[in-house]
Amino acid sequence: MAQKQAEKKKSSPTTVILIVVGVIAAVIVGWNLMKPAGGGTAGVRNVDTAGAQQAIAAGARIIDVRTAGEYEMGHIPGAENVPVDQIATAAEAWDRNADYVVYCAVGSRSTGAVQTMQSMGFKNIAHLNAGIQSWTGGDLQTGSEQGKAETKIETAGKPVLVEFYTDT
Amino acid sequence: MKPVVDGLEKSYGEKVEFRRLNVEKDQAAVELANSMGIQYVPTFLYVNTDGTVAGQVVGEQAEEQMKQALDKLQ
Repeated sequence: MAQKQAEKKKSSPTTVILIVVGVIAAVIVGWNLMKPAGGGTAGVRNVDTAGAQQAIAAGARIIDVRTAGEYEMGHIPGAENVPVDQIATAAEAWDRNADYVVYCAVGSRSTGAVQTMQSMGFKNIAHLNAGIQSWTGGDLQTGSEQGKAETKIETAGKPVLVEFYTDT
Repeated sequence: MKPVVDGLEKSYGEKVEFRRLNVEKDQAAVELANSMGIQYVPTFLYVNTDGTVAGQVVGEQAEEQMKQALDKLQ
């Protein structure tokens, strides 16, 4: 009996190693599954504003799939306007392995665009699935007040209207 | 948006300075935009003479809405 127990004990290092490997694998898989939506940097995934900002900061190409008219009324700085019905054609020439942020107004057109890109072999897409409305939290059609900033702006003796814009 | 702002500059240019900042080309504009948390263009800041920001408006605005905001600046 004591001999058998000793034999059992002899095999235990292998068992321990298997358990340790199993636990490490489970932790890695669990970590990947539990990562917040905005925390991922690869794969096709839905992201919130923070996740989109993170992808943009990391150099992702920003694709605005709304109409040219909507785009002209306002957009994320650096975004390229590729209306959803032109995605399949335009994306032919794009790098399938590059990182992209895709958005529309509320998330429906961009869902279609992301599906199209995914079927074309694009691997890294951060989809702002709540749309650009979630980005600013306001009604962009009429202009929304974002609250008063703490920062003071230099003036030259009279009030100033500052407009932040891009050429595109 | 540009024609509206240009038109307002003609009528308000004496009273208010119109400052346009390109956040793709002008490094100082990028730094200010970052410090102000600007993430969308156009974004407008209405600034009083003492430098305080009276209002920050994101996106397209009606001319009338802009006039009201400009009239309130001190």
